[in-house]
Amino acid sequence: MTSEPACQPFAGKQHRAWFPRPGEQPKDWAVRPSTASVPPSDWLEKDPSSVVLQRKLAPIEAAISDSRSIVQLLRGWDDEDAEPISETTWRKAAAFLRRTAAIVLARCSVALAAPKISPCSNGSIDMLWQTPRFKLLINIPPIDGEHWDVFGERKSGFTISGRIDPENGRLGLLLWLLETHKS
Amino acid sequence: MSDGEWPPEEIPNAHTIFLRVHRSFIGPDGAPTPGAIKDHGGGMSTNWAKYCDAQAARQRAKTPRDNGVLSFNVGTVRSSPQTVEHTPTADDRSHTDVFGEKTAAIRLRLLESFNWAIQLNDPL
Repeated sequence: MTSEPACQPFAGKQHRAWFPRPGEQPKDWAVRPSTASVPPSDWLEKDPSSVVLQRKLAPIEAAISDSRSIVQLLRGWDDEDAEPISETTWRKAAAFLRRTAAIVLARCSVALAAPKISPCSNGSIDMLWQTPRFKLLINIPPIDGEHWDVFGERKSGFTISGRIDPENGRLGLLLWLLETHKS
Repeated sequence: MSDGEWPPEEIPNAHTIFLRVHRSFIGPDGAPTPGAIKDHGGGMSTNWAKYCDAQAARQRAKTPRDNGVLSFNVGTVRSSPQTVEHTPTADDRSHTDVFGEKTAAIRLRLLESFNWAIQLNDPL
């Protein structure tokens, strides 16, 4: 089993058309900076096959919708001193999930399984995938600019672990997910 | 009884510790969420089975019926890796802290190694 200290496994993988080479500007939605105001599936609207795609992404939208209630948790929601989950943190998680699912679908023609989305007592949000092929836990912190804590493990035993810069390192995470669905 | 009256002891790897899990950390599928593995005041508070059973651990919750109890093998927790230290308090000789950063990796590892001692819906 190998482990990576940080999610930056892109060396040698830059032949992928969607991945910007050094000095290049990101060209498409795949590497667009995350914003909390991205409406659901806006990137699909110009695509004639968007209805089919939206159907394939429906489980992801359902998971996001089902998790909406966590922003209503009051301080101390765990009967101890848990922090509330902010709307901003939830939107950040939702935007990341939508974009990731869209990339996996576009590049691998695979509908990403919906993760379990759950609150943490420090105000962060966990997204957990557990499938026969892999498991992956991503923790979205409540503070902008703070790195995201990630651990993933494929059936083969290959792992990805560490803290990623959400503005850069998440591309490594996406690549890991794409490879997961190819293996 | 003053704080520290109970001397800390070395906990053998073969022993068991109990972790209370509030219902807000139990998912719709009945499984604990990774958020259940969390520090509180420096470490993750648990109870050593030498001085406490699962029911007593549950009863220490603010609202016992809103809590389940997980059991962990101490050696497995230490290999995750975390530090398990007996930290008795004046009113809880069983109190044990699990020290170490609760990263995503650690939390997933620990969630692979628990057993239910008391499920949420088990009677008080």
